[in-house]
Amino acid sequence: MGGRAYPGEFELVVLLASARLGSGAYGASIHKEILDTTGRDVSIPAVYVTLKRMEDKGLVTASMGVSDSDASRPTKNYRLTSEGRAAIDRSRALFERLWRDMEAPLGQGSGS
Amino acid sequence: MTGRSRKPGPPRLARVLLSLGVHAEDRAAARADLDDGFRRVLRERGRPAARRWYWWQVIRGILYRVIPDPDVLWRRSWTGLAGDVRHRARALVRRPAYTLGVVGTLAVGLSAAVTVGTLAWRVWLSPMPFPDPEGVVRLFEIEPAREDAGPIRRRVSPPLLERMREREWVTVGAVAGVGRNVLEWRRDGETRRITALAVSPEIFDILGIRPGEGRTLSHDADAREVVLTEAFRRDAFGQGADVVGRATMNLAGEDHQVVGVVRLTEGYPRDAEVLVPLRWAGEQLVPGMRGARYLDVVGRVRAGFDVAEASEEMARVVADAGREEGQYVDWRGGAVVLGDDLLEPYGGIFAMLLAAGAVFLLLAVVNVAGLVSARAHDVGRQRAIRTALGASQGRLLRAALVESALLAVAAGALALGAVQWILGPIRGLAPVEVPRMETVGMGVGTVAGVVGVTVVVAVAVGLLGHLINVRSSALTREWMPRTGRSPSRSGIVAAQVGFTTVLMCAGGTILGTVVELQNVDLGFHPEGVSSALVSLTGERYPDAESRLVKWRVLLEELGGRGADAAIGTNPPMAGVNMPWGYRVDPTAEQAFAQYHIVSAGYFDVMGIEVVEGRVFSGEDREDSPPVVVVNDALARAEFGPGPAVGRRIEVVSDEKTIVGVVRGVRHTGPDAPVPTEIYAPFTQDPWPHAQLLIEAPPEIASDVTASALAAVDAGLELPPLQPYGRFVQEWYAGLTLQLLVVGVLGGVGLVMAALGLYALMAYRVSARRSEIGVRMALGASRGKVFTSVLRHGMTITVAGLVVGLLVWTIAGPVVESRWGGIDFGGVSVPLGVVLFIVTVAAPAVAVPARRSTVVDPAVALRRD
Repeated sequence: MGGRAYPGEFELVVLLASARLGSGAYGASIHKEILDTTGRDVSIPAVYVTLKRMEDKGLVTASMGVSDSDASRPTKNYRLTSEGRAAIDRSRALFERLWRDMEAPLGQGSGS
Repeated sequence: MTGRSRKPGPPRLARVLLSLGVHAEDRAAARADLDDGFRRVLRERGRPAARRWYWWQVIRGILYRVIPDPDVLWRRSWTGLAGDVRHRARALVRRPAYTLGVVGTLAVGLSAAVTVGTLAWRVWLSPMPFPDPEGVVRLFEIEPAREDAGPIRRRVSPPLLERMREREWVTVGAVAGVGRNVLEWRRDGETRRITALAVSPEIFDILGIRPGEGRTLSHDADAREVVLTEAFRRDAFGQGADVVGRATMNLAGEDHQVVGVVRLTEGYPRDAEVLVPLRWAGEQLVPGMRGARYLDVVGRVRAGFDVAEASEEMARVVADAGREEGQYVDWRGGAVVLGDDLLEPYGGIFAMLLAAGAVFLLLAVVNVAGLVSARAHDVGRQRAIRTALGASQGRLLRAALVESALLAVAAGALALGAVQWILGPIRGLAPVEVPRMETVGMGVGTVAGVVGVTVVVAVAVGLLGHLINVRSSALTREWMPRTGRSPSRSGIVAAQVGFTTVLMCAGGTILGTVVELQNVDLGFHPEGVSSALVSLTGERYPDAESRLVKWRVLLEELGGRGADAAIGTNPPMAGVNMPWGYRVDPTAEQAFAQYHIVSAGYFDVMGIEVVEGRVFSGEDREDSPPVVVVNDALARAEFGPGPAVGRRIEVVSDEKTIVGVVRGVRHTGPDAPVPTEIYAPFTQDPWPHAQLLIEAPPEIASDVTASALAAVDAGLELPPLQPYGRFVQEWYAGLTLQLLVVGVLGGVGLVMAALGLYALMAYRVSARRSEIGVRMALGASRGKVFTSVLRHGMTITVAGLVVGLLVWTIAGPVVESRWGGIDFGGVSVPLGVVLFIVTVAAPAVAVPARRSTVVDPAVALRRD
């Protein structure tokens, strides 16, 4: 097997949040994006560790920039690589294939 | 980094620990983000919530990092690992003192922990080797409480066992009796005594004993069968011999067919060479034999019932028997789980041992942390260089773990050897009654224990070392300031000294007590006396008259063979107690005295001194006026300084005359006071059971006794003669074990405390190197520097000693009340312990102190 074809669940969350933020993706903003859109208060160090890991895998690249809210504070900005975008697409295709033909949610009484 | 603000900030330790959770290059950014988050939560929900939020963030971050992407971890952890191992190994070899210190400390801690772990597991914690051990119970009778004693558990007599075996039990599936016997085995004209278990055939199923060859005993009551134990078969017949179904053994005059070979279960039943069926002559089952309670009875509780229900049913069985027979009406019965019952007496000592083992292991890790921090200043520079060259925290952590793994492996190997070496003597020195002691040894479990504990210790030491060595972090500054003053660590070392003081005081006191008790005059002199319990029971001895005749003939036979022999019931320190009621004044309340029935020669053979009057003689016959001899304790208590001879005494309800006074003996042991005692001649109260006492070593006395017994009654069985001194030795064995345990613990504690002290002082000297350099440059003499370090170390030692002595003063009397017979009040033992500990502590402090005097001011100052 040639490496991992699909990112893990938390990696995918961080990857998607970075994609939504575009050029404004850095640690704090990614954490806030996840919190705002999903309500999950994930661990900030875990976000950094995941970004570092994906950087090692070539899914994102990092460059130094400044914070949106505080221009005096240096931040590490992340940008998806083409491999990162491909990984998201692969995951999406995988999930869509798996979801196809499943008309109703599996759990009872919960909306999708 | 942010400076200190007056506003509440995030928890500092969590901030430090964050470095474990995030890669070095992200640390500043992550910290800033977390600080933002902290302020937000602080605004919204207050300080406690903000601190909680921060901690939770950091902990989750660390967890997330240590359980990372498996692929990456796998790749990362192997690249450069061999280099790390080489590098760390070289570094350790270059510092032999440090390496030996750490390895030695860990080895001591590991050995202590694994030794007690092995002991506790093998003897105490591991389940008994029976199938479903919780369902195997011991069944017994309960003698009702009397005014001077609570209810007493008693064994079961043959008639009751038969009643139990015939009963349709509700709660118990099978019941089996176990009796011990010494049988004469006649083979090729020679006679050999072998130890036999006389058992009901159900015992094999209850205990799960499966035959290695052949089968177990049959249920046929008339079958003459014998089952051999593996060891006996090897020893008596040889491994290859075909014995099962072919050989017969002539046991006690009857041929028995060898039907099988078994290996006895560990722990119970023990010490037997063969197993034979329990069989009774009819007269042994008459109701009159209900008092002959010598059988151990075990049973298996049926599925769906528990021990409490079995216990209730046994109580009903005994009560029914009592009612039907019209005797022992108020006796009851009970059941306990056999395994619990066998191990119950040892629970306390093993719990204490396990706790001590855990404490020592913890102390070893703490002391090693001390040694590591003593080196932190040197290592710090090295790490700074590696960090500058691009090594990540992860790599540095790995290096620390590799180093601790190397040290721990060396310590583990040493510990394995040490445990192997220690277990032998422990097995040998432990009292024989401790069940399963013979199984204690190195096994897969012990090795696995060493490996497991070694891994845990390696990780603990590696992580601690890493944290200590992260020099740039606030942790170092807070935990180990550069002055080397570290109240918490000094406290830990002082506590170790205190702990050791208490242990050594306890050890010293027990030692003192053993020596003291060994010098106590027991009041009797069993040296050179052999003894065996002889019983005149069964149909040939239906009444007192028949027993009297036989006892008399036996003593005459022995006398005719030139032996100084006597008989006596309830002899001293044999574990028997017979408090008989008596009164001197008919109107007074009954008092109790130890009652003995003896022959005329008893006092002479046992070396009991006559104080007043006479002892028994041939004139004290069954038909002459009843007489007794009392001991000096009774005479003093009842008659004061006046004469006792000639006075009347009512024993139970018979009036007797006191004809003599003898010196009292320590009946229950050298630590207990001499009880009041009454001796009656056997001619006036011929008991069925008595110790036969012969003034000759067993090997000489055996033949004489056997031939004398044979002349009296060919059917009599003589249990093996043993030196009477064994009762005294057995009494000391328990105390010796305590001494051994406390002594070893004290010794280990002392080594630990000395190492801790050394590590702390070495650290202080290393941390204060530049300060010492400045002081020496300013003209401080070497002597002054030396004294200042020495003073500090000895202050810690003295603080520990004071705490230890205080604890000892408070705890001593409390322990004393539990530890019967030991006097914890002495001053000389604590004084000796103080001297001893100071003697050991002095060099541990002096070596680093000496090193401080060779600091070269120029070199020390250049380093900073």
